[in-house]
Amino acid sequence: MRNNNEFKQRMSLVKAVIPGLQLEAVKKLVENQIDIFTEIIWKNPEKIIWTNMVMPLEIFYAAGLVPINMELVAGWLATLGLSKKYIMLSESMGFSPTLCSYHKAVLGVCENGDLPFPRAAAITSHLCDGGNGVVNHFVHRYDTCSYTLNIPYHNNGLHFSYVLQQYRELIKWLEDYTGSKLSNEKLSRALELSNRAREYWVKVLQLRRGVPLINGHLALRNLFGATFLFGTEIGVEVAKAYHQQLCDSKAAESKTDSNRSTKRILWIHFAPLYANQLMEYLEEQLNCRIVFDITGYIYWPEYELEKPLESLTQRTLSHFYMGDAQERKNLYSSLIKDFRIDGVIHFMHNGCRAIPGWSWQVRQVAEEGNIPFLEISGDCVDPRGFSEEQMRLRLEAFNEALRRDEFVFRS
Amino acid sequence: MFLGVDVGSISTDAVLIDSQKNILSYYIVKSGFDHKAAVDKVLKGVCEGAGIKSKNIIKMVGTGYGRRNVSGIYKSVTEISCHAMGIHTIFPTVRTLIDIGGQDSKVIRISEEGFVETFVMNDKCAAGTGRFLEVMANAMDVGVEMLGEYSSRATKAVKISSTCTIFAESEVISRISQGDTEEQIIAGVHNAIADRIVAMVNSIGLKKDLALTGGVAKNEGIKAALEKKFGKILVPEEPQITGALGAAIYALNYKES
Repeated sequence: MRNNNEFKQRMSLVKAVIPGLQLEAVKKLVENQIDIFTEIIWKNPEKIIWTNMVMPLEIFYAAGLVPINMELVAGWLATLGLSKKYIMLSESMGFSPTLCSYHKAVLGVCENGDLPFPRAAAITSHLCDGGNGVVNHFVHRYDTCSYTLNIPYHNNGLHFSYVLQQYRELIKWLEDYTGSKLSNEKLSRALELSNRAREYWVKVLQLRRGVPLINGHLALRNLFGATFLFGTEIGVEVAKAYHQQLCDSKAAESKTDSNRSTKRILWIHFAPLYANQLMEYLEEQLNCRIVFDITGYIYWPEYELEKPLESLTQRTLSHFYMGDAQERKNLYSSLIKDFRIDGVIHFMHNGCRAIPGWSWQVRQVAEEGNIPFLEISGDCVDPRGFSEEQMRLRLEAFNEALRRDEFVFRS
Repeated sequence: MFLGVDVGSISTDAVLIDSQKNILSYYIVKSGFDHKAAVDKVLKGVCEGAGIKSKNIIKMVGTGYGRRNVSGIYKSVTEISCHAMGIHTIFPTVRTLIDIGGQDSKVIRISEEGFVETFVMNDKCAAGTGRFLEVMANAMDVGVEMLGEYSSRATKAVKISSTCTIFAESEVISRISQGDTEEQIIAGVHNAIADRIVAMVNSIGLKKDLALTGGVAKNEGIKAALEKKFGKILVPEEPQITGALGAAIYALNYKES
């Protein structure tokens, strides 16, 4: 390991800010992440498996591996003020400026030796086209063992069988990599833990339909990684702590924000993760509270423990960014209704081909519901093009559109 | 009387209205570096124009990117909302507005009451803005106010990139060296801006009537290039003061807080 490893150094310093974090769930999550990135990944790099954003991770936990999500790594690099350095390094290696910054940040931090090179990687092909490219680079650069689940776009019987067979192959691949048979009991236990965490999460989403109990950007920015722990004891603890804190806040509801002028926002996609005050400005200054963000949506049904691989297949194929467009529109409509949404903000992350490509559907749904819709173009990880004033202007105009009722007319 | 002040990147505009929304006077100055001085100038000019003293102004709303530099304002409102309200006051049937200012361009969908339904803006790039035109005019040593007249004489338009102001400037210079006429190049520049605007309009969908405002709306070549794409476009008599007029309407209509 290099002596001047900035990532590890800064990650260690995060310990000092944990007591000041507002959400108990985030405290637990961050402690876990510090442990992984400053200790576990260095001591047992062969126990680490790199993966991507929509891969169910229970199977890796059952295999005794520690999954590292590449988007989460990039998020940390942005939060710690390091993403620019690693993105520029990967661009100097020849990766295009138009590629997703999440992936370039990951390529850079590995190239710089600030994380051990990946020994193993297993990803899914759906939603994110860049992940496959990153893993291909790992294979060529570091001789990484890799497996990719090839996921069809539509969920039907044929595709179900196709993905199920790949899960069986993935288990064989994992057994070859680890040198030990994957225990059915451990897989069942991981799925059970995942179900328990999921249950808390579903209850959290139910609570968030009411009066805003937290600033939603705290969940959007900090709890994205929590679902990656589903399948572990710590995953249950994080979800339970999140649920408990919201229950406590609800019990003290009279002291919380029940202001009628609060506007309720549905946020689509992620948000800038490097240092900025944009989200605080939206929620605290403009009083537009993010009551739901799509990244925290539990789209999959509870796992059937007696059918583990079928359950994982079902989850993989049921992602809402796949399949019929009308179903996606129906989902947005129901979220708008259930969470009593006043306005929708769609963050258009540079370099992402999948999610911004669906923004027209969100716009249509917002129009049909006669609620304001805002698209903001920017980058979640690369701070170089960020203009806070430009983004604030857009948020302010959106806020004004939400508050038409504050005007009287004399004509 | 109610005042709206729009502090833009190039000009600072003020509009004074009465309680019946009649425009009593307006005044336009260059913004320069000292926004406070520009605001003082327009305030003086607009008061002199209406024959009133500034103390007679009941309420003032600031807008534009320098809106927070306007002292004595009741509220600041974004230029997006103000342009929507301003054009609604002039042309109540307008549902889509294209505003091309010095440093940004925006397309705004407007409700029947003059509120913003949705909008898109150019993204941190000068292509498709007034600055783009200034750079091209400088490259050809043609006054920016003459661009419309030049393009009206063009028998054809050359292809100019709409991607980047700097690259487009290089293209213009190479076109000059290739012997293309100023008229053809300027018509191409106008088409490049129109291409940018068309993409923005299409992204939110066109609802008619359609209007064009901002300093660039005074350029007949831009209007003509856009009308080729969209059909008839309404342009106010003084398109530069739309934002300030909207701000004045907000000053008139804002509820007491």
